Amino acid sequence: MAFKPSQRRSREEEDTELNITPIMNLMVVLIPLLLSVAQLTEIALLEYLPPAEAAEAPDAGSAPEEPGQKGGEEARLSLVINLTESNIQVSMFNKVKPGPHFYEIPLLPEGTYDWKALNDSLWSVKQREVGPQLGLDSTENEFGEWEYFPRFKFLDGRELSITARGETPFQLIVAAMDVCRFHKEDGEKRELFPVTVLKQFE
Amino acid sequence: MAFAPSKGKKNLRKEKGSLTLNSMMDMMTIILLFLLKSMSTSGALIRPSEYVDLPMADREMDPKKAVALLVSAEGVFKDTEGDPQALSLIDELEDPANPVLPGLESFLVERRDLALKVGQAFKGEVTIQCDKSIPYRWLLKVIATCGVTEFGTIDFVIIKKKA
Repeated sequence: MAFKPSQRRSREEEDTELNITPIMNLMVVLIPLLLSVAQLTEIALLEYLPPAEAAEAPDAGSAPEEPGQKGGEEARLSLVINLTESNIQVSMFNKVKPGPHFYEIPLLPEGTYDWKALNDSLWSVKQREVGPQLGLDSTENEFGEWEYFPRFKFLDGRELSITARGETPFQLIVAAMDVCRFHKEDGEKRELFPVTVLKQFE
Repeated sequence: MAFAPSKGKKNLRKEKGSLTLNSMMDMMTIILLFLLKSMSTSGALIRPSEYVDLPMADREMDPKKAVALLVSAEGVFKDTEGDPQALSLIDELEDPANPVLPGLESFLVERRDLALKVGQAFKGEVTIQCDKSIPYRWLLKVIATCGVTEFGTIDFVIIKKKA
């Protein structure tokens, strides 16, 4: 049982203040330290996987494949975008003459590439030529890990080659790689051609 | 002539004033928490080099530790945290007879052989900090050189685009 405090007790209680000076010292050291290592710009990686030897450019001697044609192997779309001085050329099935499988997207009036039109055009190619996903394929990589990837009508249904003039700055190539990756529709990201191959301008 | 200080004032007992640090403590705590939150462990793996102006892209892949290279307007360098060492300079990059860069090739071969010698799993990964203004023909040569030396996974460091 606790005793009742004495009525005669008249001593005033002193205000005790917490000594925060050591905490302040710690803060003063920590904040400049963290400021010096802080990264104000966020960085990330853009992965580029060079094509395997077998999947490289089609045999120069063979005739261009017709759309949808299937030889001994699975058919290839061979989608290429070419960044030229005056436009963006889009080619499929190795076509180089204007038509449904070779067309050009002119520059915008301010002289820059029309990335929006390219993105819309690739979405149309994906729907019209590549079509829906047919299933999943898997392959074992050299480290013994299984990798799964979607299968389409064309063996290269997720692949696109980019060619450009030698003096094209890297930023434009990165922008092109970004544009060819996804198409945004109704706030949703739809996959276009995420596997990009960088090739020499021909 | 200055007057003599008042005797009363001289003996006046001064009250001990204390500085109120509470508001400052609040501020410091908020700053500290913000800095701790913005500090990421992945960011510490790769620090953007002061010698290159990185391009911007819409990617999310986190940085990882790999063989690090710098490609600037002066050439290709081995990235050694603030003290880059030249591997291939402009004359090699502009030489049309050379599809691969000899300086870079010997460095990558050395790194590959070292990894195999010490029994590390060689994944063939290389991280490149590439200036956004470098021409495409240089880029193709760097990629070709990485390809012939079995560095098959090339990651370019970019600045994340703000959503």
